[in-house]
Amino acid sequence: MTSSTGDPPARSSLSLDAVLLRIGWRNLWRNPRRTAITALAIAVGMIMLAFVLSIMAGMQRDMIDQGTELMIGHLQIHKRGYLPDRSIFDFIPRPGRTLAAELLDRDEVFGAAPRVSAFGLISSGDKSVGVEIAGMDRDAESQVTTLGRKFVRGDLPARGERGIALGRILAGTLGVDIGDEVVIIAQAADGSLGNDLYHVSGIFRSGLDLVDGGVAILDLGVAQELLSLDPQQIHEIAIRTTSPSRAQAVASVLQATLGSTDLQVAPWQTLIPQLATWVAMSNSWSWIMYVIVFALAAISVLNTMLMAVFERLHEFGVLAAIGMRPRSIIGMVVTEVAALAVVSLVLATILGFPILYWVVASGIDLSSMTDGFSMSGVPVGPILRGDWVLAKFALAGMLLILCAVIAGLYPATRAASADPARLTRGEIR
Amino acid sequence: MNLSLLLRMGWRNLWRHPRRTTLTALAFAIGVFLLIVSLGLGDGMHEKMIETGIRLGSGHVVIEPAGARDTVDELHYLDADAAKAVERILDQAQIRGKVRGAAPRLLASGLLSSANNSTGVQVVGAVPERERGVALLPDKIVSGDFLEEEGRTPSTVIGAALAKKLDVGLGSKVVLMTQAGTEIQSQLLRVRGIFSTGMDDVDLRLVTVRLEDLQAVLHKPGAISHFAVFLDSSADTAAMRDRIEQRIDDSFAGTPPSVLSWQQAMPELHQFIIIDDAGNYLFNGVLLFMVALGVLNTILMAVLERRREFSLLLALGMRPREITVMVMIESMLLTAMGAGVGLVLGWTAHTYFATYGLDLGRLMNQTFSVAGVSVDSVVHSYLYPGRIRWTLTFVALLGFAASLYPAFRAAQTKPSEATQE
Repeated sequence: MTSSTGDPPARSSLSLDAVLLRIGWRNLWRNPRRTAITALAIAVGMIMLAFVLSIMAGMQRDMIDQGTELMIGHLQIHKRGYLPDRSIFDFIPRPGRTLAAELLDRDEVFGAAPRVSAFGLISSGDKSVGVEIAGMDRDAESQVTTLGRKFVRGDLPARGERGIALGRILAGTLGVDIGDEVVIIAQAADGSLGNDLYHVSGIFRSGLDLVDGGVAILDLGVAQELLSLDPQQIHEIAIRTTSPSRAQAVASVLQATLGSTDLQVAPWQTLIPQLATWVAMSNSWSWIMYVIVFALAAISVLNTMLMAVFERLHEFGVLAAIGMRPRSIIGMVVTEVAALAVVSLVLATILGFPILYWVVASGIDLSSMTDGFSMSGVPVGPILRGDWVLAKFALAGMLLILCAVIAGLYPATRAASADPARLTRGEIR
Repeated sequence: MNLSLLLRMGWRNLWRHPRRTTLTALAFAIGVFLLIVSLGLGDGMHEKMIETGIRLGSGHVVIEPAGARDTVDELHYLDADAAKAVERILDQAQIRGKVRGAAPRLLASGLLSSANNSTGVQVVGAVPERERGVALLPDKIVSGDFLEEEGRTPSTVIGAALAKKLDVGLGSKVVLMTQAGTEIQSQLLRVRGIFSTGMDDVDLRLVTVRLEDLQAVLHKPGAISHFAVFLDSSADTAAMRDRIEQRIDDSFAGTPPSVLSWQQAMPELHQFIIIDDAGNYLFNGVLLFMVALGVLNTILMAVLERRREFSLLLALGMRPREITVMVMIESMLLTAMGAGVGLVLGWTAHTYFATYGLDLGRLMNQTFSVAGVSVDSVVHSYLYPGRIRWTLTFVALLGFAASLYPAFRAAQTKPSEATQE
């Protein structure tokens, strides 16, 4: 820039920009109290926006994780038409265990758990409950779902073990504990009524009443025996991939490789449409927040800048009289507005960081008000944790500056349209 | 100096800067508008969820055997004598007057099978005449009727999703397998009606039969799992719960049945509403705080640029206290204008949404549910009594708080300042 060969006009315009920047900044602090109050108002709005975005992202993350990782997995493979009726006859038209093992060779598949599923009546003594009976392979499940970590006592039945895992509510209803016997009656694939005795091997607590009260889990092979299914006859394969956000992409890749005539590869969005709906709803909700906060911030900026411009009209007149171009005056005022937005953002960062840090690190603890509730069939709370959605914070910050500059254009054009002669005489207020 | 003069001066002072005043009032109006609209939509959504929960579940007040909640409902029954005693209490004049209906029900769990498939279900034995007009299911029948017809084979009404899953329609036969005592009972049922509530769990898992049929299957003549009591007004819930509990405690010799309000029967829903409300207050509180800072800014600027004027007024004999009051009046007037406009706009929007509803259907292709209760895609605005009063009090306090510092500054002006500069 300072090279002696640089051409003079460019240099002078550059220095004018620098001067405008400095003037704008100084003008901002001519009324420090007003600037501070305006910046505080905008900062408060921005902190709340960041807070809401953080909590919503955290809730989405937790709900998707909970919803997918507990039992469903990131995606599932079924025979086409198996969902939503889950007919016991619609098993995957391939050797199911072999298919699950082959899927594991793929890079994007971290775990693949073959399962069978049926409905039956579970009883102990004079109590009985209609339940979903799932046949699962303990080792494969541990690669896909977190159910194995939700056990209050005991564990999932081991391979070949004639044990049964029950939810906490179901065990309470039946009045059974580990080692007790229960009887299961279920319609088998050959049309007979499967009927057998099992020992309780474990009791789990998922936090979802529907699961804790309505699911009984057998070992895969044992369940196939009960339902008169061959070892290769599998109803579903649950798959874990790198993250829930990759589920759709991986699903379409798998669908393409496996062929789509007889198999359906469904990502969690298809399996739990309620959850996908909630995510979409909360995203639209956060856009409404953006609009509200920015509208109020824009009004604050507009009000402050109008005051700042109108009390200095005389000054602008003088500047125009001594040859400052309207464009430069606009530049000066817009610089001042942008500087105000930046100051607000800095203030928001300083004041907001501890709040956001608290929300992300320890979260809002609602346990004094609730044990948690289910939303879209997924347990929520009682602790709501935020997430560092830095990209969204950055977007919000940039949008704020843009918003402020747009709001500042009107005061700026007013300043630039000042008629030097009349203004210096003080004829216009 | 009298108040009306101060009021007139404050009003005129405001309009010395019409643009500034308008913008500040506009910001306040937006804040109040948003507050009323969001309270209206929030209350409306909650009210609808409560209504759905109550009508789908066990009413405003539920009377059930003590201890039933510790495990699951179907294992505890009120025997025929206890059920009759409860009926007598519900028939007492002071109770009947506020009760729209009370539905006795028997619950069981079982396996429902067709030739094609079978699934675990929750069976409700109900008296159709006593469900109609109060419970949700009779209104949600899409084909057939709600257990009206009594044929040789006991009737059942099932959800549309369950009918599809079992591949059955009106007139089809299904088999209910359930446990009575120590033996497994199978009962042939004929599908006489199909309902669709839009709630997946309900449409797939709930099955209704006539009360006496279920009592026969379970070998429990006269047994009742709970009485669902529906009130004319949900505002009476707490009082009626207490009254019914009182009567029941008085007339039962042994362990009396427990009487629960819907808040106790559906704690998840109740807690969700409290927390959602708290979030709503927090959000709107912060927005209004942001707006109040705008008022503070405007009034403070107005005060600071009129220092000479104030000192002149003081020199002429106006008391500092009167200046304080005048500035506060300016601030309160500004707040009142903004709040007034916001109130009118908010009330208009509220009335509109109360009549036509806000359709969120475009945002969600599926309903979503909270605590097992689906949230309707069309939200009708509703304001609890006292909401507007509460809003206005809060806004007035904010306006007052914003005026304190400028008023204090204005009163500190020294008379000598007029002559300086």
